[in-house]
Amino acid sequence: MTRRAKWLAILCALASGVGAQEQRAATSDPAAVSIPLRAGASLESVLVALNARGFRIVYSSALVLPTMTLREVPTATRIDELLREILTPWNLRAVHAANGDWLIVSYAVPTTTAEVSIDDDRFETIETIDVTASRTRLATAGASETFLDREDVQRMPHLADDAVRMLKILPGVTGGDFTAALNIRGGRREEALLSVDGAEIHNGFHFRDIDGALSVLDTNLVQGIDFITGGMTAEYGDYMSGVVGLQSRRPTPDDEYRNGLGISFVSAYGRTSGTFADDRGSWLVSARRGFLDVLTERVVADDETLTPRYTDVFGAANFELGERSSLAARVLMSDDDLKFITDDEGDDIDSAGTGRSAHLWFEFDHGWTDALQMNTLVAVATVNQKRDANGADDERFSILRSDNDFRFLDLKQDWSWALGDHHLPRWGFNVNRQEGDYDYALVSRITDPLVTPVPIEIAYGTDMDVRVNKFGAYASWRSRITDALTAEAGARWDSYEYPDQLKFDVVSPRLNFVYDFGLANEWRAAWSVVYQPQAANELQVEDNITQFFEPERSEQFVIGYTRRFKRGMTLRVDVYEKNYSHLRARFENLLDPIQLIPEGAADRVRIDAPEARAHGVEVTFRRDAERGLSGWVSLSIAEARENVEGDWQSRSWEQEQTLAFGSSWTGTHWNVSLAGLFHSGTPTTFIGIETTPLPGGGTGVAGVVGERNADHMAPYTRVDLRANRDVQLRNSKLSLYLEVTNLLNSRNECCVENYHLEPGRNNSVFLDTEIGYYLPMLPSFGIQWEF
Amino acid sequence: MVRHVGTQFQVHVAGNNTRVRVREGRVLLTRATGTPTDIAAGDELRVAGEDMQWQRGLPSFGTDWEWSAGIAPALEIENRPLAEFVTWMAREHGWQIQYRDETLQHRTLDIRLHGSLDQLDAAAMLERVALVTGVSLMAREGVLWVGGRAQ
Repeated sequence: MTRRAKWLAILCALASGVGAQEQRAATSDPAAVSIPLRAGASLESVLVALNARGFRIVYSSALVLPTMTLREVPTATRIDELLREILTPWNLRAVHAANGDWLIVSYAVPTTTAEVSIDDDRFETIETIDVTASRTRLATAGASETFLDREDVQRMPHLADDAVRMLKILPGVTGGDFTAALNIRGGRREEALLSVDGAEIHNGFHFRDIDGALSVLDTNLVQGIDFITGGMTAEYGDYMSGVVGLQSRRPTPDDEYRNGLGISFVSAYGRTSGTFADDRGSWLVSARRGFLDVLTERVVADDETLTPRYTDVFGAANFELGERSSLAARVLMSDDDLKFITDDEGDDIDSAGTGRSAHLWFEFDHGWTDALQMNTLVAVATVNQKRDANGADDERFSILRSDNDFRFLDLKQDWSWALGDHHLPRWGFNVNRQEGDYDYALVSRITDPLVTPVPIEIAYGTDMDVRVNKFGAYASWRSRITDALTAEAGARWDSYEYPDQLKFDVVSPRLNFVYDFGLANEWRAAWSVVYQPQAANELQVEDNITQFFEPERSEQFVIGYTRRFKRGMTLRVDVYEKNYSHLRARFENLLDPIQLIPEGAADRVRIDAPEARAHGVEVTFRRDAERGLSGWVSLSIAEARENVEGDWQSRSWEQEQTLAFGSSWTGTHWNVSLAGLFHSGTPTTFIGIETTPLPGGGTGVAGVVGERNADHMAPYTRVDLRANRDVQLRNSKLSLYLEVTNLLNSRNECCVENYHLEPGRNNSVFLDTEIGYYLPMLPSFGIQWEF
Repeated sequence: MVRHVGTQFQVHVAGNNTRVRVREGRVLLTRATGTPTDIAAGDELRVAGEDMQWQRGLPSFGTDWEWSAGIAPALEIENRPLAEFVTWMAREHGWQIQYRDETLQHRTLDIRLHGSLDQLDAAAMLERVALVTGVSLMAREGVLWVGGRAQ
């Protein structure tokens, strides 16, 4: 059986498992309503009649008043449509709970609240139906389905209060311990869009020198995370693998606490917020200062000093201009500073790197009518990255100076127009201007005798300015074809202009389907073509490449099935296939990807792989519970390969089998959360030596490098623990937590840090390799005071 | 013999050991050889043979009592006042009730609930009743706050 045929067989097997259910739904529609109604009848009498027919409607006399009557005879024949028709004139609405109950609530009530998730799917309008194939919502208020609510996100273990890091245990995500950036379903890290409140963040991670160890928004500011790993609709362009959409906390008049102060082993932060103009406006200011010394002391050797410092400042203001218009402003500034000094017998490294960025953006929302909505966002950003490093060891010597500046101007506008309950055309455009000033120089000498008999001299530099213009437009049409089937067809056109009159125009079609049969089952499917252009800040000057390349292309197919069981249990299965083409060459370090001057190292290799493919199956089982034990467990089987001169090699972030879980126990006073990640070893490359007897005595030694990524590191195991306790004070709240990353102190292999020849018996020699490891056990403690 | 005197309590018997914990009201424990022992709300008495061990001032809520709420028959809310629901919830979970103000307390007598809350846990019941009445219900640290926390 071919590989493609195997995937199809899996899909067919999944389809056959639910076919019977689908047939039952088609023959008897439980949502059909047939009761005689007359104008002038009281609303309450209609609800009583509906309850008598078996619809489980919960309401009260506080909202459903005796004076409320039917103004006209309703025409709807389905329960959801009927409730909407009779309730809307009285500013009431019905939300559909996960167990099938209908709750009659005030129109102002959100569909999901902190205490209990209410599944509003069956009452969705054409505007709110989610057709994205693989989306995971975390902590999102108002979402139809939330994987973890906001409290859970804060309670789950997440190193250094970094919300993005928490995503690394979700199915389809790989990437190792060191970086906060995500490899999504076999894609490179650069393929994930990171946005905050709708704006693209061009420098989303601190400490570029150590692989982007932290994201720039801390968990305390996060209201929700919209995490898309496949099946992106037409409004998303330029990123092939996914979207990490962070929504910041939005102050409301009902907030119990408006201020917060916190301190932990790794950071200190403060937050204040409020409302103004009779609660039509709100504001929030937050600042965080981070000091990872406590953590890095456990990671680096005794004779090394690593001092990472970082600062973030976030400000937000929102104002309702009227019933149909709102204006929002955001500012996000980040600053990081990393110094690394080591001086032992073999190594001598002195390195400093800084990163600074500032993003400012404004968003204007306007409803021209109830059906026609417009959103406009304009953003400016500046990014500066500096590196200054000297390093010498037995095998090489490097000096690096780099000072790169980037400026970004982004404008985008999105429109949607609801044509009744069955059609939703959407369209929009984006205009982006990016400028980069590169000033980069590297001098390096590789003297490793296993690599080269004579020293390899490397010296190059780049001092150039670049400008990139992007223009994109998209249109899509969403239709509710039947009550159960909704489809969206769309396409986007993008144009990219680079220096030297280099210009590319690409078209990306998208198709998404969601089939909802009954409350318990749902199918999703998507086919899409996505292009990713090279951004102005992605010129590969570190490896002496000073030209831009054509956009990379990915064609993706995703199919997903969700089944909801009683007692808050859900099963979700996603199957995906991605085929990449037009990939530009990239550079990696074969043995150790975490080095301060990776581009000057002996293991630096160029990978010319114009094609790649990734496919996998992700199975997630989840249980929600308000108290007691809740959580999820997921199993992912995946393959991510790339074609290097006809040889399909594993991509360096491939994880063939992954088991992950997150569990949370909530008692009266305590919450204890445990998260685990177990996966097969990541690919690595064999290195060894060949010895040859020399004429006249002695032994000649030459290094041998095996096929790239044909070997694997040992399997990876990590369990993290976090215990939270809230202490209610008179008018404030204290929250304490204790977190232990890598509770079992597992020695997880990450890389080959060093190698050297050692004398063996009988005048022989052997190659001794030093394995590097991911994070050891890291305890942390924090306290937060909200008032 | 443990005599029920109109109350909420739990009895745990393992071998020669008996533990009686009282949440509400009082309980008389009569041993075969002795006089009745009166156990009041918030008290726990452990008896092993002739030994008696007291623990007093125990909270009436928390994980030790949650099991009892789990096996309690569901409240039929159809056309029952919100005040009755609040009282029932507080009793089943050992919470105290705190109304935001007197006006709201009177209003909860007038608000009638309709429908069913079968097979829901406490948090879900509170959530749903709060949604359909527009009256905030929040349980924290053994207190059921009705209409929001008093300032």
